[in-house]
Amino acid sequence: MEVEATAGLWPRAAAFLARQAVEVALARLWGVTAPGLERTSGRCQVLCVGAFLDDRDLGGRVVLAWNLLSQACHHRVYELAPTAAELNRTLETAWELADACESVCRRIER
Amino acid sequence: MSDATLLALVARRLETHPPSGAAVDLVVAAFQGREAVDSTLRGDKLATAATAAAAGVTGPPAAYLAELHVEGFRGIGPPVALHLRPGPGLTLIVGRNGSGKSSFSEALEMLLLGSNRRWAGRPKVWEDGWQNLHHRHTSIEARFNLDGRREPLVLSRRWADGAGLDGSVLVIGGKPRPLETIGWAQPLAAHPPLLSHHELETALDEGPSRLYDALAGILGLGDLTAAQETLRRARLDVEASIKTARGAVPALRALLEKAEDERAATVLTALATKVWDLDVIADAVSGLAAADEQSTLRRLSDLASLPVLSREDLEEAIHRLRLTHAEVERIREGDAGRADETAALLQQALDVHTHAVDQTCPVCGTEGVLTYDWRLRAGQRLQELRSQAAALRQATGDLQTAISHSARLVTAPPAALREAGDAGVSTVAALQAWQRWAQSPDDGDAIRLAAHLKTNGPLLIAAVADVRRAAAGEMQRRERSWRPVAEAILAWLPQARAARDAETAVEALKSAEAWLRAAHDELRGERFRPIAEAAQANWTELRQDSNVSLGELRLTGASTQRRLTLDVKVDGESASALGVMSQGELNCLALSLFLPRASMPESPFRFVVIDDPVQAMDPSKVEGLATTLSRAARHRQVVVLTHDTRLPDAVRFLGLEATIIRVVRRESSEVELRAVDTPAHRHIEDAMAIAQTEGLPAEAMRVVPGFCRMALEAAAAEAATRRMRREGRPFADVEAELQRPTTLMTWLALALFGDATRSGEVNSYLERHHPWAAQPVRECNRGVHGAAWAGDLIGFVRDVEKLTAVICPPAPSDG
Repeated sequence: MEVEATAGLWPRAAAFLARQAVEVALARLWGVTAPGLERTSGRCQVLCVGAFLDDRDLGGRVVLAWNLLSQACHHRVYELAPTAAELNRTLETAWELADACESVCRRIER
Repeated sequence: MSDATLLALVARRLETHPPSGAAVDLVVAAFQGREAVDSTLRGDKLATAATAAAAGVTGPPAAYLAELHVEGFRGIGPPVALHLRPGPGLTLIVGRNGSGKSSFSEALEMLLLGSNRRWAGRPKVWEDGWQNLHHRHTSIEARFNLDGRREPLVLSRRWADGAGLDGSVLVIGGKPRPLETIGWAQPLAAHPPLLSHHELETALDEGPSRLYDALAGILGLGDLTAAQETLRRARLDVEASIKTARGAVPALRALLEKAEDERAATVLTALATKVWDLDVIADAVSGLAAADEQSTLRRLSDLASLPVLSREDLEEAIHRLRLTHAEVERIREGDAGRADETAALLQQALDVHTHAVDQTCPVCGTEGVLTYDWRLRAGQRLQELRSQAAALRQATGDLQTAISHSARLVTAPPAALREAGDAGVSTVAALQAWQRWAQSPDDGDAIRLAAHLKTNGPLLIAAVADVRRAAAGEMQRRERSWRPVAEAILAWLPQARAARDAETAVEALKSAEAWLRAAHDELRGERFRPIAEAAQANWTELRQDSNVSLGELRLTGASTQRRLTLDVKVDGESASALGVMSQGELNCLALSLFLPRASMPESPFRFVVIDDPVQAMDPSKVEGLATTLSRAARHRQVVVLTHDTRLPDAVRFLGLEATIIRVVRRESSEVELRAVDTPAHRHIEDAMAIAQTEGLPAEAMRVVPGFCRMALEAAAAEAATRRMRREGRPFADVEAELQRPTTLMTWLALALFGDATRSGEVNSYLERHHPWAAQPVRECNRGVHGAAWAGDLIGFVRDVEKLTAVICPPAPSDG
């Protein structure tokens, strides 16, 4: 495997994966609470998530993470990529989101 | 901190940690000035310190910046007004480079300080651009809202057309006055509310002592430092006097060693000990020393004062001897020699004759001789004989007297002469002469005695005179060589005495100084800690991903050693901050330090204007910066000028509350300001974003009222704040009021009626005055709590938007 070919691309790769994770978590949440919402824009979804999770703080962080991930995924060649630490934080938020979504879903399904 | 507080703290510490002995008085005296210290050193009792005429007055009232009007200054041409929310909160003024935004902060600086740091220290050419090129009439005016006052404080400067940069005068409230009259001069120096990019960049470049001064200046320890300085100067002066006295000693020693006088030896011994025996020295020099018998000086003085045999006495004695002797001889030549015996004989004869009957001489047997005539004649003869005898006796007595008188003149050589030894004067001849003199014939022979006197007397007189002269001469010579030494010592003695007293003083002063130093360090650490902690907290936020961690900040050292120590670790390794940090990190560090300084409770300036802090910062740091500024903005009016869109972006991403004003410049330096964002506006935007989403499921619709409610609450808060400011309510009151409302209705009540408790009347009020708003408000209240939405979501959001405009009409600064 040519490692050099992938050098410098890891931020974008990581961002893609993280964004996907968020989308999946949100989709799971909407599937239980507000079916159809997953078809709306990402901005709309993240704006709503705080209310549905009843956690305004987490909602705010998800908005931030989403903004960063969007920027990273769509960034132009000459723009600055997110740093490792930024990505880490975003990933943490994604985890949190996933956990929260999962617990809400379980509670509702019960 | 007022002087009185500091004095009270020092007094308390004096009780809990007293220094030794006399140092206590010195410490107290140090705060009263140099004279008090001097008099304490002299031993005078300290007058009970009148509690220092303290600046116990409360400082000037807190001030928020409300408006800034600038005309013809730097990049701003025609008059422009910047309106700000005069209260805690973050305002971002965004404009490209050259849009004129920096001109606002520079104008404020010019107004307050009368000068601009950007030009300080630069060639005059930089100043030449101070006036706008297109609009040559310059004026700057600022309005400040003061705590508890309804009327704003207005400061302005005007330049006459054609005047130079210095051609303006600060006008406060309509009258030309200096800043001191409103009590702003000192706070401006200690807590400057204007932070420029340049300042931030260079703050850490300046020497460590400048940084120290910049931070220590606000700790209010000025009096303590002054007291320390007073003590230090006093100690230096005292030590100098000791040094002078000691310094003179080697020279004196050299002089003394050269002097042959034995007094020199005494003084040298007295000087040899660590503690000079000044009394001995004084006596030796002034001649009061009980010089012992052996001393040369004593001998010399004895010699110089040898008993003098005067020539007259000698002549007289000789004369008398001769006279009396001659008299005796003369009388003896007559029958006077036997006069006594003859008289005795005759007396006896007369006695015999008294009882005799016949006139026969019992001696020769001749008859008829002892007649009455004979008796008469014998009686006469007897008288003559008796007087002769008396004369003889008298003369003999005189002679004896003369002899004894002369004998008395003949004394033994005095001890001084005998023991003269090595006084430097030759006494041999005199001694001999005297010894010869002393060997006078004592056989009663007056003539021989007279001859002796005549021979040896003059010799003695001459010899003694010689000795006396020699001795006197020697004494003079010694005195002459001793005098300069004595004078030198006499001149030095007062210094020496002072120095001796000074030794104890130095100890006391050092002890007092050490105590003050400890007190200073303690107080300084205490007072600086809040700033240090705030700086650390700021840095934690600002650093984001920097691997530089900031440990403890401390102000250490004194005078030339004073500096701010920063414990910095890079990836866990200690390092020197300035060496390893990037320029952006250094800017962050500087900001971390100076934000707390500008936000100290003692500062009357509740606003801080930061010019372009984002330069050289990493994007991640910008988020940290936004968080830090937002945190500072909770209690302060934070106005940030920036050309970088990252900061407003970060503020939005983080969901921080901020007002964003855009600055745009047209031709001819026309500058326009436009508020592009208010918190309420943003919430409406979010609500609208969701409402306008196509295919929004019903469950999601209930999110919208939530945002609308937040928008209404934000608008209500703003409205309530504005009203309370207009009424001149103290800032603390305003903040307390804003804590009260918890529900939407209480917020609306606060905004509409000024009273959060009247939430029950809100509905009826709305029905009466804004009937279209009643339903949306009900939806906002209810919609959050569950039920699905029916109806026009977008219309609802628009109605709420309208209501926010009603509750809180756009201020002039809002677009």
